[in-house]
Parts: sequence; C-alpha cells; structure tokens
Amino acid sequence: MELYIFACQHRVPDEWRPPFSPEEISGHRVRLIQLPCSAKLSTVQLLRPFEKGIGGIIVLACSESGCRSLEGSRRARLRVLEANNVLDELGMSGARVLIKQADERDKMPIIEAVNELSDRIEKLGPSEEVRREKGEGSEQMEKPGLNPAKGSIKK
Amino acid sequence: MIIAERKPLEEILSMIGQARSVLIAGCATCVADCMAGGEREVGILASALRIAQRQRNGDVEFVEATVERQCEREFIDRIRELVEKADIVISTACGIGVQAMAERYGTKPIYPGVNTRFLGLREEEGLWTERCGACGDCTLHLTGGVCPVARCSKSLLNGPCGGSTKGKCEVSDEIDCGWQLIVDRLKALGQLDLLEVNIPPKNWASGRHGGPRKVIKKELRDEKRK
Ligand code: SF4
Ligand code: SF4
Repeated sequence: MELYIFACQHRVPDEWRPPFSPEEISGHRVRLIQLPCSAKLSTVQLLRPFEKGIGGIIVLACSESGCRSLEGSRRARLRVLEANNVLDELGMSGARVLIKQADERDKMPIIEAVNELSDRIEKLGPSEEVRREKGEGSEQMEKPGLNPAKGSIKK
Repeated sequence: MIIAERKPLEEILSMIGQARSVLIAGCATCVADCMAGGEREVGILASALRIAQRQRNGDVEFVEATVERQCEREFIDRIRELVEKADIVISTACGIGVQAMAERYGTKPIYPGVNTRFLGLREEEGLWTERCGACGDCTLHLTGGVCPVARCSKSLLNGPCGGSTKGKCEVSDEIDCGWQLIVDRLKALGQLDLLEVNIPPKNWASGRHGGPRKVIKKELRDEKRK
C-alpha cells in the first residue's frame, strides 16, 4: 500500500530529512513530504493523492500548544477533519487521513503511525474499490441534470 | 453577503450524466467568504469528483476556474474559452452567479454546485448566520439595528411573542429570540421608548410576494441608447 506522510519540519527525524527520507516503512511504500509548518497543508493537498488511489495519509504536526506558528497545528487538525469528511461522503469512511500531534521528532512514533493507519486501511479495503464492491455507481446517469439525488453517498 | 453550502457530492454527480468534460466554475466573492464555492472549494470539489470517477472507472475531465464575481458579465466573459470547451458547467457561485452564467452562455448547461441559503454574515469560525430577509422595506432604524424579519422566527414586526423564554426562541433553544436582541440593543442605545411605536404592517409587495423584483435608477438609464 502507498502512504503519504506530510510532516512539519519539526517532526522529521534528522536522519530522515530530504533527500534521506525512507521510501518504505513496515513494507509500505511511503512518500514523506516535509513542510515548513503543518499549516502549509491545504485540504485539497490531502485529497489529491487519493485521486491516484493511495491508501492513506499521515499528517505529523507539533502539539497545538507547541506549534511555532501558533495556529498551525490547530489548522492542520481542522483540514484533516475536512478531508476525512469529503472521503466519508465518497464512501471511503474510516479516517484515512490520520493526524498525529506531538512535540518530538523520533522515528518510532512515525513507524507506529504507519502501522496504525495501514492496519486500519487493510480492514477497510483499498479506497478505489469501496464503491465497486458495494455495487454502487458503476453506471452513469442517463439524463444529465434530471436525476435529483436523494442524498449523499454516506450521510 | 450571500451564504451558500456545497451540495452533497451524490447530487452533483447525478448532474454530470454523460458529460465527458466538466468545468467547475467558482466565484471569489460571497461564496468564497462562506467557504462554499471559492477557489479553495472548487479545488476540493474537483478533487472529490475525480476520486469518485476513479471509483466508477469513469473518464470525465474536471477543469477548474474561479472568477472574481460570477454575477458580473465582465468577469464571466474571461472564462468563455473554458466554458465553450466543457460539456457542462458546475457553478459553485450562488443562484445569481449560476443564472448570470446561464444567461451569458445560452446553449451551455450550467448546473448549481451549491445551495444558496441566505443573506448573512460570519459570526464565528465555521458559523454563518442570517441577518436580512431582503424585504425591500427596511425598518432597522426602529428595531435597534436588529432585523425582525430575518431574526425573529415569526418575522414579527411588534414582538416579542409569548414564547420568548430567557432570551431564547420557542422554535428552538438554539435560536436567540430576535425580539430579545432588539430590546437589549434598544436598551443599550437608550431608545427603549421605540418599543412604544407600533410598526405598521409591511407592504410585502416590495418583498418576494410582489413577483420578481427590479431596482431601476432612472438617472443611470440612458434612454437614447435603447
Ligand atoms: S455570484 Fe453570487 S456569490 Fe459571487 S459575488 Fe455575486 S452575489 Fe456573491
Ligand atoms: S427589515 Fe427588511 S431590509 Fe431591513 S434587514 Fe430586515 S429584512 Fe433586511
């Protein structure tokens, strides 16, 4: 499974700083993207990787009281919530975007977060197959604009 | 400003039908401020629709564009090329923007991506509340600057009703009693005597009840140009 890790620069272990970031953790392909602050992360950045069918995203932020940009970690938490709500609406429930807030830059908590998220996603199934498995949405609507939906995919 | 909310994704997906190319057109003014249809939300919606397409093995192309204000022709003209290329447009502007686009691009299907809710303001982070019912006959000078039409659940012009309890409305204890707000504000202004004024029934012909409304400024209309 492929996972993205967006990390505040203060959460990246020294030996994992780009270009020395690991490409694999616990047998999963990972892409670690270092940010100046977790607040740099936008909701759309948290969704775009799912367009390519990745499994999930981990966001590493400082604690909310320890954030050097004061509001950064709190904003990151809210954007994670927003991204997860959109994924929920798409039938990809189960919080595929996981945020870990802490004032540390050790490797171990990151490895644990990868294990936690990958376990969770394995139970949920690959993101792009969720709706197909349910037998939903494979057909296109016949008449554009004439099919008022009864509600969201999952409410 | 005009407050809107994004429609459920399933409803938006149902509008796409057989279209192969969809332009998602945002508006960078009211709907951006209420975080429903600005550039940021256009990006989120486009991404969500691409993920949905992937789930459905679809091959629809989603293009994003946001203009300053969709209710002004000068601005919507700037995306003409993108509109013409797309099979359909999902507009995330308010209902005015959607109609402005539909009037400008007569043969292009323009569908709404948001539900236009009300005229209001941002009260707190993530919370927008109604302030004006656009009644066309403003009486805010008599009610301490608090609108009885939009903020009293019953739009009473001479309130409060008997259901007002501890500052809350009988419709829901999550709603502040509009008339309690009016009394509090008049007290602060030293204008409590205004409560003695019996506000006469409104002429609702200036509201929605008189049919679609128009504002005409004769001095700005150049009769010779017609
Ligand atoms: S189109 Fe609607 S949302 Fe956009 S500026 Fe005009 S009134 Fe506001
Ligand atoms: S009295 Fe009418 S115009 Fe004035 S704020 Fe209320 S609804 Fe709007």
